[in-house]
Amino acid sequence: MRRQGSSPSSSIDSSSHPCPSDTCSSISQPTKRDLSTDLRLGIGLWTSTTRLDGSFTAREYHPDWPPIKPLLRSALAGKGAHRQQSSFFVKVYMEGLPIGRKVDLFVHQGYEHLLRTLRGMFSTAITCPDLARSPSEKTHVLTYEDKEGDWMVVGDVPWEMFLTSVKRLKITRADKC
Amino acid sequence: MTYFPEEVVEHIFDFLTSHRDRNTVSLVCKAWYRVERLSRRNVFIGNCYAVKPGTLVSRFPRIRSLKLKGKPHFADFNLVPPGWGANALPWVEAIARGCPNLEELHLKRMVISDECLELLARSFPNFRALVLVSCEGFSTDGLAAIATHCKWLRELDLHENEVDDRGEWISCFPDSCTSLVSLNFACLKGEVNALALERLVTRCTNLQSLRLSSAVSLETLSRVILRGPQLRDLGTGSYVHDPRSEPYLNLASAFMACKSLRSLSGFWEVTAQCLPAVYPICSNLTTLNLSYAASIQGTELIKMIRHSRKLQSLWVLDLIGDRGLCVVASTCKELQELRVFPSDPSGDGSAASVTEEGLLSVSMGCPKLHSILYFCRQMTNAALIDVAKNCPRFTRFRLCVLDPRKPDPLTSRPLDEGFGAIVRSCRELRRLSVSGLLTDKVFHYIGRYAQKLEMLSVAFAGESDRGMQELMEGCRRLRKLEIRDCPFGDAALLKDADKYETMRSLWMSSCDVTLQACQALAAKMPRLNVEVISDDGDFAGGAVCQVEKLYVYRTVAGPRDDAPAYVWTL
Repeated sequence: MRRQGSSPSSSIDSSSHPCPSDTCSSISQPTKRDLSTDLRLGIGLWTSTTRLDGSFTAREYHPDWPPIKPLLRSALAGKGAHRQQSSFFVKVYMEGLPIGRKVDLFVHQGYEHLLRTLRGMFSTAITCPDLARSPSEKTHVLTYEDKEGDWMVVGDVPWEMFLTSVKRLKITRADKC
Repeated sequence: MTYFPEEVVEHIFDFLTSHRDRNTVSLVCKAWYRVERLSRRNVFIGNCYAVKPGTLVSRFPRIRSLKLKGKPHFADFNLVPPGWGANALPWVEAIARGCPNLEELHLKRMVISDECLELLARSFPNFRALVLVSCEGFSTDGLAAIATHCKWLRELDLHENEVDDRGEWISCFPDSCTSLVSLNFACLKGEVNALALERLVTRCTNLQSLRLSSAVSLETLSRVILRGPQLRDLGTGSYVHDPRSEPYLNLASAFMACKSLRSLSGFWEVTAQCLPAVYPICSNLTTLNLSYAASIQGTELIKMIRHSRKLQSLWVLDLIGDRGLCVVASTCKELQELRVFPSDPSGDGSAASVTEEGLLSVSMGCPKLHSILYFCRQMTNAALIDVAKNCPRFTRFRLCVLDPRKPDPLTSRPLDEGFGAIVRSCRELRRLSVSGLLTDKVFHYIGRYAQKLEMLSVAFAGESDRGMQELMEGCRRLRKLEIRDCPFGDAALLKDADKYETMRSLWMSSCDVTLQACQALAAKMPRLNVEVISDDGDFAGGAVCQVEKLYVYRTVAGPRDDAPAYVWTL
């Protein structure tokens, strides 16, 4: 039979607060638990409590707390793995500007999307050099530094492969490529 | 003595819409009792074991609509073991025999089998509306039976049920079915025939409410919306797609045509870049439910809120953060109801959550707020006192501090004074849930000040029997009391046994009540069912053993005959 100890989860510094009579009146009872129920799988809450004398009680496992419905519980459990949307920020410099920006590559779906973002950030036209156009002084080209330290033009390899090798980006004048 | 012919009395009774009023007039005299019972159309039974199905049918032979509730509220949180009861079949069988004109059935927390659904579908030729909330025991086969046989079906609302997936059923609606006004199958997991769904929406031109399950793709959603621009309430399915694709662009323009949309929910999985399509709708929304949208991060939530100036009801995950609630406070001036659910129930402490700051800002910014459910990491007395001052009109106040017995982090004191301020200030409070570190004092306040309180939920609170006794002495209108993990024992349980007959039910689990006290209560009050639940089905402990779970409710039906082995009615 499960009995819950009524230990208050607060540590009170007796020198600065007179111990309030209502919290001191509860006696910390040893918690008797049926340990076989603790192994129940499920999403529950682990709590630890500090008794008045500063000692920790064992963490109590409450498989049915907090009180949310099973549908919500399973929806959140399923999301657990993806919930923290991972991000991948890389530095972006534009030639001639000493201060760079940062852009999250994971938020972008592909090269087009990235170019749109960077055009917006730097207010300049950025093209891919595979367009058969003679490079003019007004356009820029996006390049990146890969894992081996080499500077490459962006857009030659598939997007996913690009994500694995890019370290940072640079927007250079087209006539340099 | 009636001075009017019965038809006139009946016509006068037609103006009485509330159940309480009709119950009252039936007590005046025999003649009025007779007129009332024969003209009664809607019946609400808050506890399916309070009365026998046969009694319902013989007293009210002409009912058209029945609403039944089964298991106790804490069953929602897995505190009631499976197989407890609340079976719908005896009710459907009795009504099929006695009231063939039934049109509507609403069930909450009941068990309903496929056979029962089939019986329902075949027994009532005028059946129009089936609403199942938090029910279980059935599969898509039962739904197929409803779709196939209920020719005049207007409403099929499946809200948060556990349903077995046995295959596609939307295609079971015959081509002749054009009467649907409301279709909600958001809780289902199985496959949906997209074409059948589109055809159904096309031919049901009166469709106002449509809530889709996560199996419905964004592409299907865009086609469905095109066919149903008159919708007032929409629940999206899976909201995942490439934002540059044609289906998404079609969806965006389809949404522009939905001028009547007032309520939005769903978002089971989300591509954040697809959310802008929703912004044009947001400006007309009065209800927004994002409580399942675990993929929408705080910044995106805030963007949606900024567009939603007319919101009256907002359900959201704590991913919105205190910052987001601040935006709600400054944007949603019409807000009446707010629910903030925990996105990380296992409480690592590292995830996003809300604190007293969010609640405080909403209380300051939203003058019409009267109903709140708030899961938070921490709460302070100071904040609760200010909230009480800002919002004296609360009717429902449910606070859940995620860490049980957590004190006010600023002062290390219990939250008694904070809740005390709430009950003192909010005179119209009907429903209250308390949490955090609480002594007996909070119950003194509740008993003394919460005079209109009807439902109270207590967990991990109190120090002695005195707490519960003060409650029992005080709250005169209390109907439902549910307690878990509190040090209340026999003296508290037996303090005012008569009061339980004025209430619908009492639930106590993991408290300090003994079997002996429960037996004493049962002996004293024959019109109560005192049910003791043992998790391991073992009652051999004798009279002094602790009772794990206790459920007491008033009834005119006597002890129930369908109790499982682990339930002992004393």
